[in-house]
Amino acid sequence: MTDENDEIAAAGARVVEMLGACAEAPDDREVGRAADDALMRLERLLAVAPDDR
Amino acid sequence: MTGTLARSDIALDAIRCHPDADNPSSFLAVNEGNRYLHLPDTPGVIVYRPTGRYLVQFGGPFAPKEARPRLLRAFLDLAAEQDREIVSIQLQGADAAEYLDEGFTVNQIGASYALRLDTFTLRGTPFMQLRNKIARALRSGLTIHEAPLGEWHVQMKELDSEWLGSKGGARPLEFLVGEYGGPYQHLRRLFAGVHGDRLTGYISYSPVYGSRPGWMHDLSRRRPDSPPGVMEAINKAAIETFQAEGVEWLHFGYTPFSGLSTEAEFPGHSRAFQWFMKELWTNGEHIYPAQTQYAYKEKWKQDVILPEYIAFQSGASIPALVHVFRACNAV
Repeated sequence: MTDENDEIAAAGARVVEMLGACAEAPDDREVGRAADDALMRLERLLAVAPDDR
Repeated sequence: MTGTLARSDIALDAIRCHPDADNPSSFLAVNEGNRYLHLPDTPGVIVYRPTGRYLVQFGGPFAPKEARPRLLRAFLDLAAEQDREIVSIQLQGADAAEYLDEGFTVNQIGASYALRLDTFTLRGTPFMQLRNKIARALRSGLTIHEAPLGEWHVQMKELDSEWLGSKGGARPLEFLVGEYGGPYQHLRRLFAGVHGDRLTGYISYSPVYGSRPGWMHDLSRRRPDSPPGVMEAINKAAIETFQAEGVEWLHFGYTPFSGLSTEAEFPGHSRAFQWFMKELWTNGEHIYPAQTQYAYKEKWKQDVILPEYIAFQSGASIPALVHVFRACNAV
Protein backbone atom coordinates (compact mmCIF):
# COMPACT_ATOMS: atom_id res chain seq x y z
CA MET A 1 0.00 0.00 0.00
CA THR A 2 2.86 2.37 0.87
CA ASP A 3 4.55 1.75 -2.47
CA GLU A 4 1.25 2.44 -4.20
CA ASN A 5 0.78 5.68 -2.24
CA ASP A 6 4.34 6.73 -3.04
CA GLU A 7 3.74 6.06 -6.71
CA ILE A 8 0.57 8.16 -6.66
CA ALA A 9 2.33 10.97 -4.80
CA ALA A 10 5.17 10.95 -7.32
CA ALA A 11 2.77 10.92 -10.27
CA GLY A 12 0.83 13.78 -8.68
CA ALA A 13 3.99 15.77 -8.10
CA ARG A 14 4.77 15.36 -11.79
CA VAL A 15 1.33 16.78 -12.69
CA VAL A 16 1.97 19.80 -10.46
CA GLU A 17 5.38 20.25 -12.06
CA MET A 18 3.86 20.08 -15.54
CA LEU A 19 1.24 22.68 -14.61
CA GLY A 20 4.14 25.06 -14.03
CA ALA A 21 5.76 24.04 -17.32
CA CYS A 22 2.52 24.62 -19.24
CA ALA A 23 2.06 28.00 -17.59
CA GLU A 24 5.57 28.95 -18.71
CA ALA A 25 4.90 27.87 -22.29
CA PRO A 26 1.13 27.72 -22.89
CA ASP A 27 1.50 27.58 -26.68
CA ASP A 28 3.97 24.70 -26.63
CA ARG A 29 1.95 21.64 -27.67
CA GLU A 30 4.75 19.22 -26.74
CA VAL A 31 4.76 20.50 -23.17
CA GLY A 32 0.97 20.25 -23.16
CA ARG A 33 1.10 16.63 -24.32
CA ALA A 34 3.68 15.78 -21.67
CA ALA A 35 1.45 17.37 -19.01
CA ASP A 36 -1.53 15.33 -20.14
CA ASP A 37 0.61 12.19 -20.22
CA ALA A 38 1.45 12.90 -16.56
CA LEU A 39 -2.25 13.32 -15.77
CA MET A 40 -3.07 10.05 -17.58
CA ARG A 41 -0.42 8.19 -15.60
CA LEU A 42 -2.00 9.48 -12.38
CA GLU A 43 -5.42 8.45 -13.71
CA ARG A 44 -4.22 4.88 -14.32
CA LEU A 45 -2.74 4.63 -10.84
CA LEU A 46 -5.92 5.95 -9.22
CA ALA A 47 -8.10 3.63 -11.29
CA VAL A 48 -6.79 0.65 -9.35
CA ALA A 49 -6.73 2.46 -5.98
CA PRO A 50 -9.56 2.49 -3.40
CA ASP A 51 -12.23 5.18 -3.92
CA ASP A 52 -11.52 7.22 -0.79
CA ARG A 53 -7.99 8.19 -1.78
CA MET B 1 -26.22 31.66 -39.31
CA THR B 2 -24.11 31.87 -36.18
CA GLY B 3 -23.56 35.30 -34.71
CA THR B 4 -20.45 36.11 -32.68
CA LEU B 5 -21.15 39.72 -31.81
CA ALA B 6 -19.07 41.43 -29.15
CA ARG B 7 -22.30 42.92 -27.82
CA SER B 8 -22.74 42.58 -24.12
CA ASP B 9 -26.35 43.81 -24.21
CA ILE B 10 -27.35 40.45 -25.68
CA ALA B 11 -25.60 38.77 -22.76
CA LEU B 12 -27.26 41.02 -20.21
CA ASP B 13 -30.64 40.17 -21.65
CA ALA B 14 -29.78 36.44 -21.56
CA ILE B 15 -28.56 36.33 -17.96
CA ARG B 16 -31.64 38.23 -16.82
CA CYS B 17 -34.19 36.24 -18.83
CA HIS B 18 -32.62 32.76 -18.66
CA PRO B 19 -31.01 32.24 -15.25
CA ASP B 20 -32.00 28.56 -15.50
CA ALA B 21 -28.65 27.22 -14.28
CA ASP B 22 -28.59 29.65 -11.31
CA ASN B 23 -25.04 30.80 -11.93
CA PRO B 24 -24.43 33.37 -9.17
CA SER B 25 -21.53 34.88 -11.12
CA SER B 26 -23.54 35.38 -14.29
CA PHE B 27 -22.98 39.15 -14.31
CA LEU B 28 -19.37 38.41 -15.34
CA ALA B 29 -20.94 37.64 -18.73
CA VAL B 30 -20.95 41.38 -19.49
CA ASN B 31 -17.24 41.86 -18.69
CA GLU B 32 -15.31 43.85 -21.23
CA GLY B 33 -13.43 41.61 -23.66
CA ASN B 34 -15.94 38.75 -23.70
CA ARG B 35 -17.21 37.31 -26.97
CA TYR B 36 -20.71 35.99 -27.51
CA LEU B 37 -22.18 33.24 -29.62
CA HIS B 38 -25.85 33.53 -30.36
CA LEU B 39 -28.18 32.11 -32.97
CA PRO B 40 -30.79 34.33 -34.59
CA ASP B 41 -33.58 31.80 -34.10
CA THR B 42 -32.57 30.57 -30.63
CA PRO B 43 -32.79 32.45 -27.34
CA GLY B 44 -29.71 32.83 -25.16
CA VAL B 45 -25.95 33.16 -25.56
CA ILE B 46 -22.68 31.42 -24.97
CA VAL B 47 -20.01 33.63 -23.39
CA TYR B 48 -16.38 32.91 -24.20
CA ARG B 49 -12.90 34.17 -24.95
CA PRO B 50 -10.63 32.82 -27.68
CA THR B 51 -7.39 32.05 -25.86
CA GLY B 52 -4.51 30.38 -27.65
CA ARG B 53 -5.73 27.10 -29.13
CA TYR B 54 -8.83 27.07 -26.89
CA LEU B 55 -12.20 28.72 -26.65
CA VAL B 56 -12.58 29.31 -22.93
CA GLN B 57 -16.27 29.46 -22.05
CA PHE B 58 -17.67 31.20 -19.00
CA GLY B 59 -20.57 29.26 -17.45
CA GLY B 60 -22.89 27.15 -19.53
CA PRO B 61 -25.24 28.49 -22.17
CA PHE B 62 -27.32 31.29 -20.65
CA ALA B 63 -30.46 30.03 -22.33
CA PRO B 64 -33.72 28.20 -21.67
CA LYS B 65 -33.35 24.44 -21.25
CA GLU B 66 -34.67 23.54 -24.70
CA ALA B 67 -32.18 25.89 -26.40
CA ARG B 68 -29.08 24.84 -24.53
CA PRO B 69 -28.09 21.73 -26.54
CA ARG B 70 -28.48 23.66 -29.79
CA LEU B 71 -26.26 26.50 -28.60
CA LEU B 72 -23.62 24.08 -27.33
CA ARG B 73 -23.58 22.24 -30.66
CA ALA B 74 -23.18 25.55 -32.51
CA PHE B 75 -20.31 26.37 -30.17
CA LEU B 76 -18.68 23.01 -30.94
CA ASP B 77 -19.02 23.81 -34.66
CA LEU B 78 -17.42 27.21 -34.10
CA ALA B 79 -14.50 25.62 -32.24
CA ALA B 80 -14.03 23.05 -35.03
CA GLU B 81 -14.04 25.80 -37.69
CA GLN B 82 -11.30 27.59 -35.77
CA ASP B 83 -9.36 24.38 -35.06
CA ARG B 84 -9.74 25.08 -31.34
CA GLU B 85 -10.92 23.08 -28.35
CA ILE B 86 -13.51 24.11 -25.79
CA VAL B 87 -12.85 24.31 -22.10
CA SER B 88 -15.74 25.61 -19.98
CA ILE B 89 -15.30 27.09 -16.53
CA GLN B 90 -17.72 27.94 -13.71
CA LEU B 91 -20.36 25.55 -14.97
CA GLN B 92 -23.09 24.92 -12.43
CA GLY B 93 -24.46 21.48 -11.64
CA ALA B 94 -27.53 22.28 -13.75
CA ASP B 95 -25.28 22.97 -16.75
CA ALA B 96 -23.61 19.56 -16.73
CA ALA B 97 -26.13 17.35 -18.58
CA GLU B 98 -25.64 18.92 -22.02
CA TYR B 99 -21.87 18.72 -21.70
CA LEU B 100 -21.95 15.08 -20.63
CA ASP B 101 -24.26 14.34 -23.58
CA GLU B 102 -21.67 15.88 -25.92
CA GLY B 103 -18.88 13.72 -24.46
CA PHE B 104 -17.20 16.32 -22.27
CA THR B 105 -15.44 15.33 -19.05
CA VAL B 106 -16.94 17.38 -16.22
CA ASN B 107 -15.05 17.82 -12.93
CA GLN B 108 -15.62 19.92 -9.85
CA ILE B 109 -13.10 22.78 -9.65
CA GLY B 110 -14.31 24.64 -6.58
CA ALA B 111 -17.45 26.12 -5.11
CA SER B 112 -19.34 29.33 -4.59
CA TYR B 113 -21.07 30.41 -1.41
CA ALA B 114 -24.27 32.21 -0.47
CA LEU B 115 -25.82 33.70 2.65
CA ARG B 116 -29.55 33.98 3.39
CA LEU B 117 -30.06 37.57 4.44
CA ASP B 118 -33.53 37.25 5.93
CA THR B 119 -32.19 35.19 8.84
CA PHE B 120 -28.62 36.47 8.98
CA THR B 121 -27.39 38.16 12.13
CA LEU B 122 -23.93 38.82 13.54
CA ARG B 123 -25.19 38.17 17.07
CA GLY B 124 -23.91 35.19 19.04
CA THR B 125 -20.64 33.50 19.90
CA PRO B 126 -19.78 32.21 16.40
CA PHE B 127 -19.43 35.82 15.21
CA MET B 128 -17.59 37.23 18.23
CA GLN B 129 -14.20 37.46 16.49
CA LEU B 130 -15.76 38.99 13.40
CA ARG B 131 -17.63 41.58 15.48
CA ASN B 132 -14.41 42.49 17.32
CA LYS B 133 -12.52 42.87 14.06
CA ILE B 134 -15.21 45.15 12.64
CA ALA B 135 -15.31 47.20 15.87
CA ARG B 136 -11.54 47.69 15.71
CA ALA B 137 -11.78 48.96 12.12
CA LEU B 138 -14.55 51.38 13.07
CA ARG B 139 -12.56 52.64 16.09
CA SER B 140 -9.77 53.58 13.66
CA GLY B 141 -12.12 56.21 12.21
CA LEU B 142 -13.38 54.17 9.27
CA THR B 143 -16.71 55.29 7.83
CA ILE B 144 -18.64 53.45 5.16
CA HIS B 145 -20.69 54.99 2.38
CA GLU B 146 -22.60 53.65 -0.56
CA ALA B 147 -21.67 55.91 -3.42
CA PRO B 148 -21.76 56.18 -7.19
CA LEU B 149 -18.55 55.16 -8.94
CA GLY B 150 -17.81 58.70 -10.15
CA GLU B 151 -17.21 59.90 -6.61
CA TRP B 152 -14.43 57.39 -5.98
CA HIS B 153 -13.25 56.32 -9.44
CA VAL B 154 -9.88 58.11 -9.36
CA GLN B 155 -9.03 56.90 -5.85
CA MET B 156 -10.15 53.36 -6.73
CA LYS B 157 -7.72 53.29 -9.66
CA GLU B 158 -4.93 54.51 -7.35
CA LEU B 159 -5.88 51.94 -4.73
CA ASP B 160 -5.89 49.17 -7.36
CA SER B 161 -2.33 50.12 -8.41
CA GLU B 162 -1.19 50.12 -4.79
CA TRP B 163 -2.88 46.79 -4.17
CA LEU B 164 -1.30 45.17 -7.25
CA GLY B 165 2.07 46.64 -6.24
CA SER B 166 1.74 45.03 -2.82
CA LYS B 167 1.26 41.68 -4.56
CA GLY B 168 4.70 41.97 -6.16
CA GLY B 169 3.41 43.69 -9.29
CA ALA B 170 0.81 40.99 -9.99
CA ARG B 171 -1.12 41.24 -13.27
CA PRO B 172 -4.68 42.52 -13.01
CA LEU B 173 -6.99 39.52 -13.33
CA GLU B 174 -9.95 39.57 -15.71
CA PHE B 175 -12.67 37.33 -17.20
CA LEU B 176 -13.66 35.52 -13.95
CA VAL B 177 -13.19 38.66 -11.87
CA GLY B 178 -15.64 41.55 -11.55
CA GLU B 179 -15.09 44.95 -13.06
CA TYR B 180 -16.26 48.47 -12.42
CA GLY B 181 -17.11 51.15 -14.94
CA GLY B 182 -18.49 50.57 -18.40
CA PRO B 183 -22.05 50.61 -19.69
CA TYR B 184 -23.52 48.48 -16.86
CA GLN B 185 -22.03 50.25 -13.86
CA HIS B 186 -25.49 51.57 -12.94
CA LEU B 187 -26.53 47.96 -12.25
CA ARG B 188 -23.82 47.45 -9.62
CA ARG B 189 -23.60 48.76 -6.05
CA LEU B 190 -20.43 50.27 -4.62
CA PHE B 191 -19.61 50.53 -0.90
CA ALA B 192 -16.54 52.56 0.06
CA GLY B 193 -14.61 52.47 3.33
CA VAL B 194 -13.07 55.86 4.04
CA HIS B 195 -10.78 57.52 6.56
CA GLY B 196 -11.46 61.24 6.27
CA ASP B 197 -11.55 61.80 2.52
CA ARG B 198 -9.10 58.99 1.74
CA LEU B 199 -10.46 55.75 0.27
CA THR B 200 -9.23 52.81 2.40
CA GLY B 201 -11.10 49.96 0.72
CA TYR B 202 -14.10 49.17 -1.41
CA ILE B 203 -16.45 46.34 -2.33
CA SER B 204 -18.39 46.27 -5.57
CA TYR B 205 -21.58 44.17 -5.61
CA SER B 206 -23.10 42.85 -8.82
CA PRO B 207 -26.68 41.66 -9.34
CA VAL B 208 -27.61 37.99 -9.09
CA TYR B 209 -30.66 36.65 -10.91
CA GLY B 210 -32.38 33.26 -10.66
CA SER B 211 -33.78 31.31 -7.74
CA ARG B 212 -31.45 32.97 -5.19
CA PRO B 213 -31.73 36.59 -6.25
CA GLY B 214 -29.69 39.28 -4.59
CA TRP B 215 -26.16 40.65 -4.83
CA MET B 216 -22.73 39.15 -5.24
CA HIS B 217 -19.79 40.39 -3.17
CA ASP B 218 -17.66 40.94 -6.24
CA LEU B 219 -14.49 42.97 -6.66
CA SER B 220 -12.98 44.06 -3.34
CA ARG B 221 -9.72 45.84 -2.61
CA ARG B 222 -8.08 47.61 0.31
CA ARG B 223 -4.97 49.65 0.80
CA PRO B 224 -2.05 47.48 1.96
CA ASP B 225 -1.67 49.68 5.08
CA SER B 226 -5.37 49.58 6.02
CA PRO B 227 -6.28 48.40 9.54
CA PRO B 228 -7.65 44.87 10.02
CA GLY B 229 -11.39 44.47 9.58
CA VAL B 230 -11.91 47.09 6.87
CA MET B 231 -13.42 44.68 4.33
CA GLU B 232 -15.56 43.01 6.98
CA ALA B 233 -16.86 46.40 8.16
CA ILE B 234 -17.72 47.43 4.60
CA ASN B 235 -19.50 44.13 3.97
CA LYS B 236 -21.45 44.41 7.23
CA ALA B 237 -22.67 47.87 6.21
CA ALA B 238 -23.70 46.52 2.81
CA ILE B 239 -25.52 43.58 4.43
CA GLU B 240 -27.48 45.96 6.65
CA THR B 241 -28.43 48.05 3.62
CA PHE B 242 -29.52 44.98 1.66
CA GLN B 243 -31.48 43.59 4.60
CA ALA B 244 -33.33 46.90 4.99
CA GLU B 245 -34.26 46.61 1.30
CA GLY B 246 -35.53 43.04 1.74
CA VAL B 247 -32.79 41.48 -0.41
CA GLU B 248 -32.92 37.70 -0.03
CA TRP B 249 -29.36 36.53 -0.76
CA LEU B 250 -25.79 37.72 -0.58
CA HIS B 251 -23.48 35.62 -2.73
CA PHE B 252 -19.75 35.47 -2.12
CA GLY B 253 -18.81 34.02 -5.49
CA TYR B 254 -16.48 31.32 -6.67
CA THR B 255 -13.36 30.15 -4.86
CA PRO B 256 -11.26 27.75 -6.91
CA PHE B 257 -10.32 24.38 -5.36
CA SER B 258 -12.60 24.95 -2.35
CA GLY B 259 -15.63 22.95 -1.22
CA LEU B 260 -14.51 19.82 -3.08
CA SER B 261 -16.69 16.78 -2.54
CA THR B 262 -16.70 13.34 -4.16
CA GLU B 263 -20.52 13.36 -3.92
CA ALA B 264 -20.61 16.45 -6.15
CA GLU B 265 -18.74 14.76 -9.02
CA PHE B 266 -20.56 13.54 -12.15
CA PRO B 267 -20.22 10.12 -13.79
CA GLY B 268 -17.13 9.93 -15.97
CA HIS B 269 -15.20 12.56 -14.03
CA SER B 270 -11.43 12.33 -13.98
CA ARG B 271 -10.15 10.96 -10.70
CA ALA B 272 -6.70 12.31 -11.51
CA PHE B 273 -8.04 15.83 -11.98
CA GLN B 274 -10.05 15.45 -8.78
CA TRP B 275 -6.83 14.43 -6.98
CA PHE B 276 -5.07 17.41 -8.53
CA MET B 277 -7.74 19.86 -7.30
CA LYS B 278 -7.41 18.49 -3.77
CA GLU B 279 -3.66 18.91 -4.04
CA LEU B 280 -4.02 22.54 -5.17
CA TRP B 281 -6.43 23.18 -2.28
CA THR B 282 -4.00 21.72 0.25
CA ASN B 283 -0.63 22.82 -1.13
CA GLY B 284 -1.34 25.29 -3.94
CA GLU B 285 -1.47 28.60 -2.07
CA HIS B 286 1.45 29.82 -4.20
CA ILE B 287 -0.61 29.15 -7.34
CA TYR B 288 -3.87 30.67 -6.07
CA PRO B 289 -4.64 31.83 -2.49
CA ALA B 290 -7.80 29.73 -2.31
CA GLN B 291 -7.61 29.01 1.42
CA THR B 292 -7.15 32.70 2.27
CA GLN B 293 -10.11 33.63 0.08
CA TYR B 294 -12.21 30.83 1.55
CA ALA B 295 -11.34 31.89 5.12
CA TYR B 296 -12.87 35.32 4.47
CA LYS B 297 -16.06 33.75 3.10
CA GLU B 298 -16.26 31.09 5.81
CA LYS B 299 -16.27 33.63 8.66
CA TRP B 300 -19.76 34.77 7.55
CA LYS B 301 -21.07 31.18 8.09
CA GLN B 302 -22.44 30.55 4.62
CA ASP B 303 -25.85 28.89 4.20
CA VAL B 304 -25.33 27.35 0.77
CA ILE B 305 -22.32 25.79 -0.93
CA LEU B 306 -22.69 25.44 -4.69
CA PRO B 307 -20.19 23.19 -6.49
CA GLU B 308 -18.70 24.70 -9.64
CA TYR B 309 -17.30 22.72 -12.54
CA ILE B 310 -14.87 22.68 -15.43
CA ALA B 311 -15.75 20.80 -18.64
CA PHE B 312 -13.10 19.50 -21.01
CA GLN B 313 -14.00 18.74 -24.60
CA SER B 314 -11.30 16.07 -25.02
CA GLY B 315 -10.81 14.69 -21.54
CA ALA B 316 -9.30 16.30 -18.46
CA SER B 317 -6.30 18.31 -19.54
CA ILE B 318 -3.61 20.42 -17.88
CA PRO B 319 -3.04 22.74 -20.87
CA ALA B 320 -6.80 23.32 -21.04
CA LEU B 321 -6.74 24.35 -17.36
CA VAL B 322 -3.74 26.59 -18.02
CA HIS B 323 -5.73 28.30 -20.77
CA VAL B 324 -8.44 29.13 -18.24
CA PHE B 325 -5.71 30.85 -16.19
CA ARG B 326 -4.52 32.49 -19.37
CA ALA B 327 -7.97 33.83 -20.21
CA CYS B 328 -7.93 35.37 -16.71
CA ASN B 329 -4.59 37.09 -17.48
CA ALA B 330 -2.96 35.02 -14.73
CA VAL B 331 -0.46 33.39 -17.14
